[in-house]
Amino acid sequence: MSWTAKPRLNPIAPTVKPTGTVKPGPKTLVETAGNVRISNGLKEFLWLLDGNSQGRILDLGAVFQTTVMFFIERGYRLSTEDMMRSWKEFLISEEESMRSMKVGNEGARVSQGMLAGKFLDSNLQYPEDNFHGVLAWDLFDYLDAELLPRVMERLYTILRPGGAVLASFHSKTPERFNRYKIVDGQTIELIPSPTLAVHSRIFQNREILDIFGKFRSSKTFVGRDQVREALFLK
Amino acid sequence: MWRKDAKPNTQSSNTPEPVATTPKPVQNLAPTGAPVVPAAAPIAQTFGSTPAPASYSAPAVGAPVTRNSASLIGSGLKIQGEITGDSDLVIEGEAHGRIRMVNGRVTVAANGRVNADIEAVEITVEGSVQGGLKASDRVRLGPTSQVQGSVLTPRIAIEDGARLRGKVEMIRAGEVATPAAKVPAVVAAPAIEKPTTNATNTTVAATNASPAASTLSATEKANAARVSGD
Repeated sequence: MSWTAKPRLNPIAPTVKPTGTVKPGPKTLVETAGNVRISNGLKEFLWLLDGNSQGRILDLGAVFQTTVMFFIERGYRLSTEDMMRSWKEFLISEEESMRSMKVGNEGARVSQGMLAGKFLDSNLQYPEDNFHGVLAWDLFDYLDAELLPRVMERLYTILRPGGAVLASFHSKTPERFNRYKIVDGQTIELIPSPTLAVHSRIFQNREILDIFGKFRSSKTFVGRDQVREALFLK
Repeated sequence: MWRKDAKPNTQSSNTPEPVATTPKPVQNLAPTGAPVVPAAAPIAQTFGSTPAPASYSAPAVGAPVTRNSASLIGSGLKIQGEITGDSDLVIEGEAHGRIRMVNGRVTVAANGRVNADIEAVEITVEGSVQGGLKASDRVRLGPTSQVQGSVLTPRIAIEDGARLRGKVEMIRAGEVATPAAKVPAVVAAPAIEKPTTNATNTTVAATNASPAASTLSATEKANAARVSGD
């Protein structure tokens, strides 16, 4: 699956429009609603998946009815795993076990890398080449530096060749933590929710390319809210 | 002297005193090798102190109990083994093993914990379930639910706040099948509109690199990153 190999039914609309003929114009209802945003990344993601009837999708965010039904009604099989929440709960349980540890028990101390490895021993456990697509909105920005490369490695393993990962990255520190649910094929709704983790860092474009280094091609969409949606193909 | 009408007749045998005991429910559990569930109050009364799940419609008071009267695994009770039957089942305690109520509904209350595969007509989860859910009619995951396992059902309702870690597959109504045994019936996929990039709010480029390089090979990606200079 690639952008060039897959035929498009209609040519892409020209990105440069004649000035004076097209006004910025009123926004659509969807655009004006407070917590929704147009997601061209999602549109492209769905286009890439189109044709894979009963394709498998992995959503790494919170589970929402609309998101589940959106994919189910299109014939996909959806798996969900709220990775941020799992990571937070894992850290809390680890912290508690540390607190109950005897003083001076240095041998039992674990590094961040060991924590990341331990977390992945019980999370993101799927067969190799299993998924046609992975959704990871508001995730990688929040993972710590030790966990992120391991997660990317795992995602690469469980994704089928030609499979796509849709991820988002903030260009500035987000004001609040949001969960995402799909409204329609090109619109997502942001659900403000309690912060599960501190925003870890803002990735430069080069760094995004680096963490997806194994993937063979990429596309990035920058929204008005300065959130970058990145689509990577295995 | 004592007034005869002032003293209540506490020992009267003609007017029976209202009994404060709760009637015993019909025991429909058939545990194999599991401890016997002690008598518990019917669900309408048991849930008096705790709010009943929204989807659970308790029978009206005085209504004749026909086929299904809910059986209850009360809080503090732990059952291990296989639970089968035709009635409805409400779990407020813990259940481990397998639950199969082919003609009934299974409700896992907010404090209920289940470590078992559940098979029923309708499954409502408010508590915690580790295991697969197979419903021939519907599955409802409440806002406090935590499910770890696959869900196989014709209809599903997931409320905000629910946690699901596993796979969701749809089957035909009335069908309860193992995922491997039968191919789930799926709605025909509608044609997906070709993505046309909205130029007003997006920039299609390889991470702000060259506008022409929307699709990049690995080497192109590296070049693009170099060009972008970040």
